[in-house]
Amino acid sequence: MSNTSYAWSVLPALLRGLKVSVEATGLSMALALIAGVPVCLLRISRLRALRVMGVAIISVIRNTPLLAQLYVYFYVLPEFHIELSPLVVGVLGLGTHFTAYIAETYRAGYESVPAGQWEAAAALNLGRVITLGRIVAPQALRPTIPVLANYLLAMFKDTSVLTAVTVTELFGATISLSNESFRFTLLYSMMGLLYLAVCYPAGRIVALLERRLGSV
Amino acid sequence: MHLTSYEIHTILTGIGKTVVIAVLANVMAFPIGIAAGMARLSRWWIVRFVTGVYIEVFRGTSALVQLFYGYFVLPQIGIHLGSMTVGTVVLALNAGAYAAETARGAIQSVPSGQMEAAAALNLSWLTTRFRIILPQAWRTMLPSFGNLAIDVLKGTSFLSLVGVPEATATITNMSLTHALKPDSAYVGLLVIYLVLSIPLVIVVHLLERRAHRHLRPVAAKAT
Repeated sequence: MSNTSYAWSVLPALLRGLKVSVEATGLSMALALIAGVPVCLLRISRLRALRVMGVAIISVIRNTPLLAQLYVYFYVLPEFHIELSPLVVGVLGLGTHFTAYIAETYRAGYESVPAGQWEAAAALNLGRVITLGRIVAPQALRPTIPVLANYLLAMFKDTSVLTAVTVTELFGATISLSNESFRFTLLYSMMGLLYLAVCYPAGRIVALLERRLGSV
Repeated sequence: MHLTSYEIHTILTGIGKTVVIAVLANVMAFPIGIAAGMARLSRWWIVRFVTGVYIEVFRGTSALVQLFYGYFVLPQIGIHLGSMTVGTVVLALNAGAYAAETARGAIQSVPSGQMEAAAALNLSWLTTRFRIILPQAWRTMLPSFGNLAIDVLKGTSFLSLVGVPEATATITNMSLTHALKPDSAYVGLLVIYLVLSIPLVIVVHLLERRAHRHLRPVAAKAT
């Protein structure tokens, strides 16, 4: 089969892989955005013990490889009779990995809000919860948006690591196709172009967001 | 669970490989990054364009993908390198691309008056770059270079997937051959990387202190 017709014949399989990559990114991002909130609250807590816990969670996750973390979920959880599908393991691993980064982003946003906002809210006799939820959080969120968008992009690229726990995303699909046909150059180049086709325009959008909203 | 001295030796060798790869890749990455960051601000569009392509390609795909590309595609076009060499170079080029964007931003953040003052003092191109601009930009670059250095360390784990017997590969193997139970194996693996990251954090901290030394107040002279 010629290279061109082979390329057309495998494109649907690669696109299916790309779809899995996008799904894994979306689910992991949702997990990380939600789990980032409690971790950030630990990190900025007034109680020393909670703060130490927050710092410990964040540094362990940030200073160890995603691959090693995925292996922990993939090989260690079954020891405790927790059987999860590969995609769930992947989303759990990727999501918790980025939770640490996103918690730190939330914190940077939180710290970028001037103390005067808290003082003004106190002067208006607003409670701590109302102040945090209605005054501080909306201001803290704005500069984090470009950073979060950047992490979304990083996460999309990192879905390739999910291949190691047998998720057939774009990279995994490429590997299994090339193991059959040995057309490494063609397949890997197609895969690279597909990644770039998503990441390059997305990167431009992130840069635009950075200019519009500022950045922490 | 007891490990034989042979198994302990294997694990230590694997950790040693991880350290060597991480150090070599880091040593290559930052000069590449600073050079590419400067090239991105070149007067000639062709230099800007070529570095731009390098940066976007390496930032647009993951290190793992680039590693496999280097490992499987380079031999097909007649370039035969060991998996460890390919891995180290790919990690360096990947981190270099990220470092380049940091370096560019840091260089641009140096006030333009510095450049003008250097021109007024008739300093050469080289002196201006290396004695005036870069030392000031270096301060701004360091914190994100520290993060990148840790990313490189973490990235070395990908080399296990192309058959380099570094820490992750060694531990995975021992778990698969039941020399270690999965829980102690993989939690131990996390501990290994955590411990390896400590010296990196310390080195970056010391470099940051050094870069800021002229900003510290001078100790009052005893009279």
